[in-house]
Amino acid sequence: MRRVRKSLPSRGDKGDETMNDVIVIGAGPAGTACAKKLAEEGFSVKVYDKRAEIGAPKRCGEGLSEASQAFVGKIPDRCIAQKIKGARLYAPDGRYLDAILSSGGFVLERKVFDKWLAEEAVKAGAAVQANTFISDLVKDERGYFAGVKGEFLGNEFEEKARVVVCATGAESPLRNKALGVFSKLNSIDSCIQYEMTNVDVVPDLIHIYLSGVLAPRGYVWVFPKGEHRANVGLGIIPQDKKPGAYMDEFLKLHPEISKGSILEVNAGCVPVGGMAKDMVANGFVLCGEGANHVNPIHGGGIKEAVLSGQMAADVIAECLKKNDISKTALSKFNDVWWKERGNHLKRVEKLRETLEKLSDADLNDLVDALKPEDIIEFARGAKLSVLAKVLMRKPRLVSIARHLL
Amino acid sequence: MCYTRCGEAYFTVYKGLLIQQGIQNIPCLRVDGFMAWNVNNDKCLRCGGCVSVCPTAALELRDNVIHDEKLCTLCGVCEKACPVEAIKVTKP
Ligand SMILES: Cc1cc2nc3c(=O)[nH]c(=O)nc-3n(C[C@H](O)[C@H](O)[C@H](O)COP(=O)(O)OP(=O)(O)OC[C@H]3O[C@@H](n4cnc5c(N)ncnc54)[C@H](O)[C@@H]3O)c2cc1C
Ligand code: SF4
Ligand code: SF4
Repeated sequence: MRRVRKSLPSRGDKGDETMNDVIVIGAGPAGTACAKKLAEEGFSVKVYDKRAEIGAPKRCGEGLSEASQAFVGKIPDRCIAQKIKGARLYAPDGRYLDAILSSGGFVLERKVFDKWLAEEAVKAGAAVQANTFISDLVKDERGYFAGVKGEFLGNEFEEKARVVVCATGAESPLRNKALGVFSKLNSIDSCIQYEMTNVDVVPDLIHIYLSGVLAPRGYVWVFPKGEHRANVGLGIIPQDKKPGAYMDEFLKLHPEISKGSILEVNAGCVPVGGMAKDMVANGFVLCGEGANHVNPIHGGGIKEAVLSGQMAADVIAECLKKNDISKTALSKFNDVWWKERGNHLKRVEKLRETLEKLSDADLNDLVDALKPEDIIEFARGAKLSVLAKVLMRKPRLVSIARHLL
Repeated sequence: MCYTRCGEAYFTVYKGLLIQQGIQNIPCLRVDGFMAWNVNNDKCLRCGGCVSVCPTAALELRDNVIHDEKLCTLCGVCEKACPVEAIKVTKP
């Protein structure tokens, strides 16, 4: 028999003792960033994550630009496996160019990083609890989302909150149940990654291999983690031939990597487009990867998750203060996110759609024709007209290039 | 219990179990294995990829992938998305 436990009393001072202001589902970067901001504003916030250990197992290449610290905060050394200068981009024929970032970047240790983010939220006043699976959402008599059903160590519980934040990443059906959001098959990359040791690569660059043969639509990445460790992964458009088979082929071509040993295997489907138009309902906000807030060109989602969580927190704080948590009031998050991030990521999605139409020969020429600085701008969704001009030199690619403009 | 509700099936009780069968010579697609959703838990890496693409919220990732037959339309999208061939969706 399962005991139904009463909800834990909240530490908040507003109104009903057992009522939280906000419950956040998921203690990834989006959830903890959101919780931290709300707690700083003085709201009572509780974060639940189903993982027994926050951040583990990782589902990530762990790359993050140093510039992201502007909003993530100063990342402590213990979260950083390797500092990097930039990216080495390999054309299908093996030629490469080095795109050096002005402020560099990191390959993180996500298991430590995610825990640090959670600690920051706790320091700000939020409560975090791991190993707690949220199975369902609860509505109140007005039809507003007003709480969650969960399970901790075999005990089921139900807990109320004025606002429920879904920061579950893409892996939860809750986003679909609440808002009908899911990832379209052609808007995800199916990924496999090995964390390897005894690998020989230039350690202070991340390595990106472009090739429609090695990784159709996606790319192969080698992100060094110091002391000859590296995350070696690839993402492809979903298909019958699975990422593992492509990985075997890549490793065969790269003895300097395949000589290493596999310490950990990760898989995942990362959204590369299809950002949700509507992320709110009465008493409910969806943010982070769950809303497909990921950079569509490289699948980087940590920065977008943090930004999305913080923007959600700002709007929720405003709505709670005005005591209006209706969909109409919360929909300010839609406006803010689309203005600040969405339109930009939409341009990046266009770029991804353009690049996936190029053959390996086109990619070779492209890597030849581009300047390293341009590459960095493209990944940010800027200067796409430069890329369009390069493509337009080939009559065959004119129509593809037009898509960018 | 059958959730496909194709309307072609009837139930008989065999050795105390409720068995679903096809009418006359039309086989029941689910019972006869023509239509089925299966996950191989030995292969599954618990990555949640299948959950993220399921259009009907029929999947959930707990210790294993949990499948809700009531919601599944056997569309096969999860099988395509899975990075490791852990899901098999059988259709006629
Ligand atoms: C193979 C791969 C490589 C990647 N590489 C990079 C990279 O190099 N750089 C980068 O920036 N991004 C990368 N990403 C993307 C990045 O990992 C994610 O976009 C990012 O973690 C999203 O953050 P989030 O907080 O939105 O979600 P998540 O980090 O997924 O956090 C969601 C949390 O919610 C929890 N949760 C889910 N459902 C429930 C539930 N029902 N109850 C309780 N808790 C629940 C989960 O356990 C999880 O901890 C990669 C993704 C993949 C798949
Ligand atoms: S077959 Fe389709 S509906 Fe059924 S679980 Fe898979 S994705 Fe969901
Ligand atoms: S996509 Fe495949 S490996 Fe990932 S959780 Fe689903 S069945 Fe398991």
